[in-house]
Amino acid sequence: MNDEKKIKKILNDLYKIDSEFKKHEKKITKIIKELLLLQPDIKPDSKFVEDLKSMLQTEEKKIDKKKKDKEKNISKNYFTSFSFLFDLSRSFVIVSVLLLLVVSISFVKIQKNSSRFVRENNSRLDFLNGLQDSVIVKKGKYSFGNLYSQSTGSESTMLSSKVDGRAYGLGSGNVSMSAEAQEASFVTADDLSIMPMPVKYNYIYTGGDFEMFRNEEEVYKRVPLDISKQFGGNFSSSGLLIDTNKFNNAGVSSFSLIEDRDFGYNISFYLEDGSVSLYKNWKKWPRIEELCGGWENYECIESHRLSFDQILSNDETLSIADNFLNEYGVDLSSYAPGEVQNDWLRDYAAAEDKSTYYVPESISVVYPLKIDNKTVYEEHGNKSGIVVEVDMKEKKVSGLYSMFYQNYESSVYETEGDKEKIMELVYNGGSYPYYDYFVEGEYETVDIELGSPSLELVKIWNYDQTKMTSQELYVPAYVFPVISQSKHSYFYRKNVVIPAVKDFFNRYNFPGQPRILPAVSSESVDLDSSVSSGGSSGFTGSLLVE
Amino acid sequence: MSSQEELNLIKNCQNGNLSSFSDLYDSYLDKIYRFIYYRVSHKEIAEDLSSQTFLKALKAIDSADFSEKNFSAWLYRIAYNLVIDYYRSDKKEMSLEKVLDLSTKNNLTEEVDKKRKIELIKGAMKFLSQKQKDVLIMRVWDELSYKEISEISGDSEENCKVIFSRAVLKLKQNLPVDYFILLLILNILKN
Repeated sequence: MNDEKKIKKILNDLYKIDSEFKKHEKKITKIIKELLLLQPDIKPDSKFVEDLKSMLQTEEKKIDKKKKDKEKNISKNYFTSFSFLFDLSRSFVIVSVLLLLVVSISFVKIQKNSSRFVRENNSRLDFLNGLQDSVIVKKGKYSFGNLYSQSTGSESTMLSSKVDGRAYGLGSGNVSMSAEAQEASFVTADDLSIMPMPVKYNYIYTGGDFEMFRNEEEVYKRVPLDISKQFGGNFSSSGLLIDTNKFNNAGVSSFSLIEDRDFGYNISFYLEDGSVSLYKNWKKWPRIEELCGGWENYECIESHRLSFDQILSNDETLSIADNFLNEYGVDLSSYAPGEVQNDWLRDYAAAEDKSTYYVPESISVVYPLKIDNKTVYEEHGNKSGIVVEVDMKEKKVSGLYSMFYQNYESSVYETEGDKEKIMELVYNGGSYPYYDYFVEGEYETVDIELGSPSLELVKIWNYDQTKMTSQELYVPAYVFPVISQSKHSYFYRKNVVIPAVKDFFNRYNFPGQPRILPAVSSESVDLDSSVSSGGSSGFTGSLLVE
Repeated sequence: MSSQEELNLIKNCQNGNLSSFSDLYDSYLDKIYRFIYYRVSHKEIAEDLSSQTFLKALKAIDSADFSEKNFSAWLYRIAYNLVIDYYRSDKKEMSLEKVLDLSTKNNLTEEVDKKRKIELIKGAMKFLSQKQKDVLIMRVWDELSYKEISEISGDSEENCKVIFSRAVLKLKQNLPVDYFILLLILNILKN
């Protein structure tokens, strides 16, 4: 109704109450008109509208389910109470007795079947519940063979990265990736074309003397729990296009649950290695390309791009992740509290044009894995553990990765006791250093200051090319924190990680390969004023090619 | 949505097809949200109370009897009760004048004039009782009929009419002469 009509209607109503109002029509019209003009133009937020709608739809389903359950119960009660027999018996006594017999026999049969089903399910539940605890089985010394001689995959990556000779950088990426995959996912300086000059990273240790591992330490190997057979029986059917009953000793290697609701999830269970991942069921989440009618609608896509103001605070992000894990009953007893991964902020702060900076749609929260009270790190220096992705726009968890049963074996291995050897590798940048191709004299140097190491574990993949299998190992390692760098660069490591076992050090003597050695000096070095001092006496080093 | 369509949707919901509730939600959310917002003047609280209104409605629609009362009034009544509960729990008095500060009508181009008008209206509204303000807003802004206002507020329809007419009279009496002069000048300038 337009304003004029509204006013007319209000006036007519007033005249019906008291015709005296007609005398003041002009003034009253003005008052009502002004009241209408002053009416605030309020509309609910579109996100709120959608959220509430999806909440109501979920509630509708719940109510619907409750009703159905109630109906089922009513009919169940009716039958189990045998009241229907009473009704019938009034007129058909004989029939009712027969019916009672038939029902009793059927009931016994159902009972038999259902008790078998319950028994099977219960035993499976008992079995699965038993897997929730962290288990470490001790094995004899050197039980896992040579930890590094088999790991040709890592070596080739390391060597090829030397030959490749490009600077790696940008972002911490998905911390659940292997170091190789992580390195491969980095954007190279060539791609960026922002880096004005090649960079030489100069590692400077300012942490002072540090505690060493004992001569022998436990190395842990993850033993993937194959629970595929536990679920095999569920899929024995002749109605699945092919008669699965004909297959012998069959198990289920993986299955996915897909939630058919707004903001639903796709949960994948990998039963051969006892792990779970969760992703968005993308069909049930708002998609920009769909809202905009395709990616080619650039302006629309841009208008949906996340702005910096929409990024949730660390507390909010953490609370969303914590609540989700709590709600879905994820046992965090083997993990440290969640840490929000906000590495991108460093680049954002440094970006000259913040309006064009791509603000991430989701932020990761990492719950670092702990084995025997030691924190697990990836080889590239990030903490390793359960990763929870939080969607900034929807304020919901959009992914959960790297969750698996805590089942390990441990075996004792000899550690490297020569501190200088350890420091050589520290000055080299660790097992996966940043390399840059540069011509002598045409590069800039970035000093990377490292503090005292903590004694933790590093996750490494030991791939045996002959057996085509890999071991997921957790090896004692020195974790040197990156305290500062002398200028903004594309160095994103948070830590330099040096595995402590001897096998790791032995692999550095590659015959016929150029060997990169640090020049060790005992003099302390004055760093740029931006570098906070982490200690007094220290080693310094720069790279030399022998 | 016609009243017949609305009735069909309600019947569907009552027959167990709750998915029809979505259409009722689409049709009423803006109105209910505004209704609440005018009374609480706070986005998050308005969102919270709107959510509660629709959740309550969804749960109760099955057992509600719409043979005598209409759905719209029933829904507003839920929202109204929630607003009253909110003020009770917060031990505050409902303030309908506060929302006037949010007025954003574009045709009032002169910010100063707008502010002046708002102040004058706010001043005049102070002479109205809470009930009068409430009925006035329900009639003018929420566009509710006297029957609906009666069902929401619990007063008789006749009583609501009288309350409204007295509110208008009081406004007229308490708006200073310069308010009408201001309106007159603005109208002359516009023309």
